[in-house]
Amino acid sequence: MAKDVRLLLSRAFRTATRYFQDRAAELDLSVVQAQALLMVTASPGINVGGLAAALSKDQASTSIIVDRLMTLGLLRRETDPADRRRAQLYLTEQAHPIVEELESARDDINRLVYDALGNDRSETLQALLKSFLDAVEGRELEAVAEEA
Amino acid sequence: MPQDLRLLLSRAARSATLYFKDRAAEQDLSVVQAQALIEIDQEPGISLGGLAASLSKDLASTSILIDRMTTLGLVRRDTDPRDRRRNQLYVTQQAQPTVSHLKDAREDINHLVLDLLGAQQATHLATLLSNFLDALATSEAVAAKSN
Repeated sequence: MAKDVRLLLSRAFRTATRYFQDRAAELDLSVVQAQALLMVTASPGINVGGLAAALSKDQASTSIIVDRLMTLGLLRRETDPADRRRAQLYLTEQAHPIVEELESARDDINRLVYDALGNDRSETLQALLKSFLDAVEGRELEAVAEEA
Repeated sequence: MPQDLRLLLSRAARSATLYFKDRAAEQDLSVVQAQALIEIDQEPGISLGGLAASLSKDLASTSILIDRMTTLGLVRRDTDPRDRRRNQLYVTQQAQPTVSHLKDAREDINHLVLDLLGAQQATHLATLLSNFLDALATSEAVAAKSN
């Protein structure tokens, strides 16, 4: 395999992100803020730690993102009834139309890939990316188990 | 179409880059500096603009990057003999062992993908990613022409 897979992945990601960034900017949001809103939409009640893991960010920077989104009136925190030290994150009413726009941007990017590759090859690309991520995760878990 | 392909690409790119980052750090380089060296090695005499395009960076930050690498003795700038306003970039002799280490790292990542997915699927993944990038480049070129 002569190709540089890391570079291909990185270029494909950057290309897709360029489109998402433009759409997020139209809503006055950064890519990470937009992604955080989509994550909270997908997992209402997620805590800051969970959101940090989903965004692949550390907890301190995720807290700053959450604070900013709360100041913008797009997120609210509620105390977790099961553990009062933990906060749960939810979208505000005001965030719903914005999230709809972001979901439509996400779908447009999916469509861009479908238009570029056709249905079958897009599905295959998606399946291969998932297999790769599952395998990486499996290998990381194995490494942790070996160290323990 | 509930999947977020951009997010899948982001996670996969990050996983692969994590390995490359460690190997670049062993050479005291950032990922972008390491990538710049590989690009210049692949295309000796590349211009600053050409390098900026292949790194998906703007000209100003690429220029700062090259200044730093020139100071480190890894890259040299020569004046383009056909257009004296343009510079051509080359990897220095001193940088050759570093470049060779980075090429090994790139191969190791390719092998990792091969190990994880198997040869057929790994090649398929690389081909689909190339096809996607080519198709987008073509449609952007068509759009630019019609504008």
